[in-house]
Amino acid sequence: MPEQERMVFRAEINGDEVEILVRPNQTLLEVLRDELDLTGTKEGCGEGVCGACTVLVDGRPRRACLTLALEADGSRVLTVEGLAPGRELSPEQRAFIEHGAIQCGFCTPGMLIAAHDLLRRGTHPDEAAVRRQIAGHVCRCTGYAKIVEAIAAAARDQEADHA
Amino acid sequence: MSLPSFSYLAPTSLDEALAAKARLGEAGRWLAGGTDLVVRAKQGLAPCRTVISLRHLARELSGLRPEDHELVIGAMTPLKEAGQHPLVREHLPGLAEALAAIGAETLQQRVGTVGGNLAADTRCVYYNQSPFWRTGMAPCFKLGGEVCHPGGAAAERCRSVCQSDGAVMLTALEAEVELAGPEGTRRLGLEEFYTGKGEAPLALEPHELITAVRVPLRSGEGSAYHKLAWRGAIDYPLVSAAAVVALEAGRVSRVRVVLGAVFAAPLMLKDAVAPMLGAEPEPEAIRAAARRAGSHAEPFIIDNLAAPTAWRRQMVPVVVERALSRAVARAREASGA
Amino acid sequence: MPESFRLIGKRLPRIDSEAKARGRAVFAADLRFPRMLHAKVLRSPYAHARIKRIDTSAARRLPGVKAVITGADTAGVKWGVFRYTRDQQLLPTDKVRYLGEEVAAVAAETPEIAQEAISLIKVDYEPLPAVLDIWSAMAPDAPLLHEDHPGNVNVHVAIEVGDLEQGFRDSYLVREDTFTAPEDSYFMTEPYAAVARPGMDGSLEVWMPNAAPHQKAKALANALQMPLHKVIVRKCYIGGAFGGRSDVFPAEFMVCLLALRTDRPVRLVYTREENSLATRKGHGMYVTIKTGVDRQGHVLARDITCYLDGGAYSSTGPIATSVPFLCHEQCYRLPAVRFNGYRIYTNKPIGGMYRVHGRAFASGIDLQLDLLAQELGLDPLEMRLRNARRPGETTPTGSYVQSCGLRECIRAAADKAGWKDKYGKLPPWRGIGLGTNSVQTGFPLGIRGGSAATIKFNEDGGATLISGVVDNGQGNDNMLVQIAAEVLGLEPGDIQLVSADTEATSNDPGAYSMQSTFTGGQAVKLAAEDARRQLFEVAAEELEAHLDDLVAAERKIFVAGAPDHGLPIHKVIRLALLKGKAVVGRGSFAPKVDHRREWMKNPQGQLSETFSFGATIAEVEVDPQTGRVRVLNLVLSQDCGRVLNPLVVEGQWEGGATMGGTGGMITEEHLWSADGRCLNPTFLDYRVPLAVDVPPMQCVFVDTVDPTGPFGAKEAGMSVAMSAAQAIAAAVADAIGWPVFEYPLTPDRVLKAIREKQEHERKASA
Repeated sequence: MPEQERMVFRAEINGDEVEILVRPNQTLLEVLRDELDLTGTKEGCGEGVCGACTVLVDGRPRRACLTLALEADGSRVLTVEGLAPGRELSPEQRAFIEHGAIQCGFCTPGMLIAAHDLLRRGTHPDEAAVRRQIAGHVCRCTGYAKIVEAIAAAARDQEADHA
Repeated sequence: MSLPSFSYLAPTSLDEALAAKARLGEAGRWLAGGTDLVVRAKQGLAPCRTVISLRHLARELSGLRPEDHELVIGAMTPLKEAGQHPLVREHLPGLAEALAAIGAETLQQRVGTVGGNLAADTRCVYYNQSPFWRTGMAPCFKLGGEVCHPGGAAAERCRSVCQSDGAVMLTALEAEVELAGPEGTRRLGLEEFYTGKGEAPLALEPHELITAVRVPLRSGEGSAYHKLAWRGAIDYPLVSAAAVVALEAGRVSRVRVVLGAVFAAPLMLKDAVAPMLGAEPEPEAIRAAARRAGSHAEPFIIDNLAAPTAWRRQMVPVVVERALSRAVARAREASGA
Repeated sequence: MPESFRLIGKRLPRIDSEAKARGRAVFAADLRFPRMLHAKVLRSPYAHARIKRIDTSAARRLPGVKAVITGADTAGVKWGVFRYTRDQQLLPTDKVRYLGEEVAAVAAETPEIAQEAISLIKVDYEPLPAVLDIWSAMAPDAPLLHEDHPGNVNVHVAIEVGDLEQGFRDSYLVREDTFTAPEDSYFMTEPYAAVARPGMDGSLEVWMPNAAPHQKAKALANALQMPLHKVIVRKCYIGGAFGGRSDVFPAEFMVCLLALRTDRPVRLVYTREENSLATRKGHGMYVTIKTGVDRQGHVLARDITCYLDGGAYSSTGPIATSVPFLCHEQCYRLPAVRFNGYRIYTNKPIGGMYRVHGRAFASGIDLQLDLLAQELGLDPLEMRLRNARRPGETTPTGSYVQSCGLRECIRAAADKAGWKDKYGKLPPWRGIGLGTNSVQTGFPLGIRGGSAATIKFNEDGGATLISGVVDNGQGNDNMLVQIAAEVLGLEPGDIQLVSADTEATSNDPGAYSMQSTFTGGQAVKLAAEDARRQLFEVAAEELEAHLDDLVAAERKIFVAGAPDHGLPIHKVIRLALLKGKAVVGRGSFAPKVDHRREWMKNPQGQLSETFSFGATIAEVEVDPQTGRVRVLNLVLSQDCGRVLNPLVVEGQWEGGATMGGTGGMITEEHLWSADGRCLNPTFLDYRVPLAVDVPPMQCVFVDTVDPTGPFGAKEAGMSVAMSAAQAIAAAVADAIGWPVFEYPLTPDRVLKAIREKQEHERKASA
């Protein structure tokens, strides 16, 4: 097997500075899960369809299974583990729990990142906009119904807070 | 699935990037968002020695600006940004539709780029599979072999298809790509850019990079894109039609219809729509054009997309009619008719 | 029993939601152990071939490779879910029978080395002719997959009750129709993974997503020739099962073997493609239904012949072949009925039980009733009501139905959906349809049919609940704790749950048999009641009160109506401890089923102690030019006895209706190439519905309070998953005015039906 040159990967992951050596062909997903023990981000398909591997890189959603780790060098990365500090829960996490939006939990990290992205944009989404936001995230357990309810509720709460 | 080994470069300027690519030739591959390249690399369909990341050129190569009578869209512009740009929504509604139809929301904000969509490889359900899947199958034309699996014994060439929504619409809009090389930049109309050869679908020289798309901005024009897929997101088109119509005094002065997912390049249908020129675009004329489109497209469509072939053929007139009707309505609005 | 409960019936967030929301729930592929090796599997590229030789020498020599196994490293024993279905060597020695079947496995220091090692294994195959559909498989000269199964017939379930000939003679109207559907598939978002770790005490721990840890442990213990107490299936979070993770897989066997060989932990993670091809899939089905009805629409006789495309091995074949029929015989009154179910071997991936259990069968039954109703001038609603099961009746194969709210479900769903104002009154291309079904709450599993639970307390009043029930994501962990907390007057947070760990927990039948609540939950309830009785005994003495006057609530034991005349639970525990009595509650429960009942040999007798019933009403809109179906609305109704937690039950229904209905009946099917390759093994081309494809759904609860079930609860969810499929088939037929007999209702099939109708009308008016 050809030896690959390892390169420095420096990034801020959930607020922590990380510096490790990675191979060019390592995806961000592999680095998060295998090198940094952040197994919250999941591999559901490996080809960018199911959305379970979604993280934020510099504030924008990316499929970590299709992102070379080096593509995120020097970036800020947010995974599900970083949505809230310590034992706290972010608004979308609380909404998912309260509304029964989590069943097996495998799609949940990607869904939460998508929800977080939507809420951060503060755009007063209606139900159709919420569905569009998570349209690239497969769930086989919930039929999406309570996930949509949870995100819509969190958006409403957010509006109320800012009102 | 894991990626094969390769080296990685992340040039910080366009010149640096072009110089690297010139050096590497076909052994180097451009990496934009990665939604096409990385998947194919995992599937063993994109061998390369070096990946050249465009990440540091994103800002330089993003953005939209009007210039002369064209809209210039940077190749690295995310799909969402381009699709929702006011100029696109107002003057190129078909393009807004096409870009919005690609992938899904969380793929559109950064990883899906306009240039990436234009440069996407052609597809076929017998090609876009894992290495294990292709074990024990004779390599097809696209893999450098001598067969086409869905095409059968009669097939003499690759029958993979262009499933890029952006490519189909922009071809209908008579867009050009700007291709940068170490020696300079050239422009190429999309009709020439797409070769129609599944084995090598892009007329992109090994040392070139798509840096922008230039779309003519014309008055009195309406455009529309109609994509048929079975789900509301993620899916590639099973068949699609892009229509552009211009009216003068209520009559068709220009009409272009291009089909997606039926040929290795966006398929221009000239003869099908020619009779519409100079006449009023009444519903019956549109339906007639759609029917002609259906019979012209029929021989192109084979069983290569994990969807029923006969149905796809039946849908060509439907998508053409729907796209044309919307384009006509918008052209009427745009020309104040 | 008090009719108002503190926790039962309340919308409570699940106890496992937080871990999942934080991304801290550990699934099998998330597990990492020191010195863990990575496994990869070599798979057959042929649908049918003899294995002449396997040369692993180059693979073994590769640096970093620690073990390579093939069938030669096993005893070559054939495994089967039933003694009479032992047809699968977990690593084949002589033949491969489907494209993708396991042939060898490697454990290496990294996944990349393992992958390279796989590519170095040389296998000499002698390709054999393959059969890729049921008709080729059954043809007289067809190549046999298994020598002892002529005609490639794996299973034949034969059931006949009543006088069919008389029934058809007495019928006013008789119809015979054939319904078909290709394979469907689970596509749970978590791809299969397995981890095995050898212990220093001769034990082997295994983690894998599963729907029955004790069944997996037993099968592995047999295969590895180890005692059961040394093969320990541990608990991990599981990303959905839906029927596809029940019986033992070669994957976990291989991982165990590799771990034992190397004496190191080994992890195997499947790709999405492997999860689709090399676990299980739903059966393709071809079913002919002949039904005779009287003038009032009562079914007098029904004769069904059903062929299932089983794939290469039997798996749960006798069950999968029977369940579609059994669900329907529970749901409808059938004076005379005959069923011949044939599961046919083909050189394709293995068919397993899938949640919807045969969309062609279920939808066919109901659609045919609609067609008969039409001919009789009856509303389909009325047709169903007249034929619907009632409580106190017995099914044709001899199951007494002790609780049944089917008609209430039908009426409630109809009310909610506005059926009366819509049926026959919708604009063109819109339709409404009704589906009804029934599901067993468990089935006979012999010595493994019961569940047992234990509750122990700490001196501060907290408790640990120990149960064998497994949670696949449907909320079983929460259900167990909710039940225990209700009985003991505790909060869910006061209880730790140890579950689905075969070292610590007693046998449980498994979630796949739809009885986690009824059997597992019941055992927990009994254990909690046992503990409560012990607490009462101690408290009664201390409080000088009667046992029967005591209640447990708010973490106290007190005299009913006098909360101040009581003791905090932790005090009672301590009092007990002082007496040398640790309060340990124990409960076990096995449903009352006829243990002589056998799927094939004796399909008579009580199948399950109770049954759930469901009705779904779907509204659809069809695009007449493309044939695309859009589901506009779904009303979901089920009698699951009592809804223990509406938040959880709604989620199950919404998910089930989406999988079985919106997805399963409209876009989901597996497609195959001419040589047995699955064309759509991934999420891209196997089209499960996305959030933008799903309609609004309303849930209507019908509680019948089953006499046996814990707090009256029965099975929840599967009756909806199935009836949603049926409702959509009916609604589309209503929308286009023509039945579609082939599923799923992809645009091409719908368009074909529309054209058939137009052709029919053209001929009729000519």
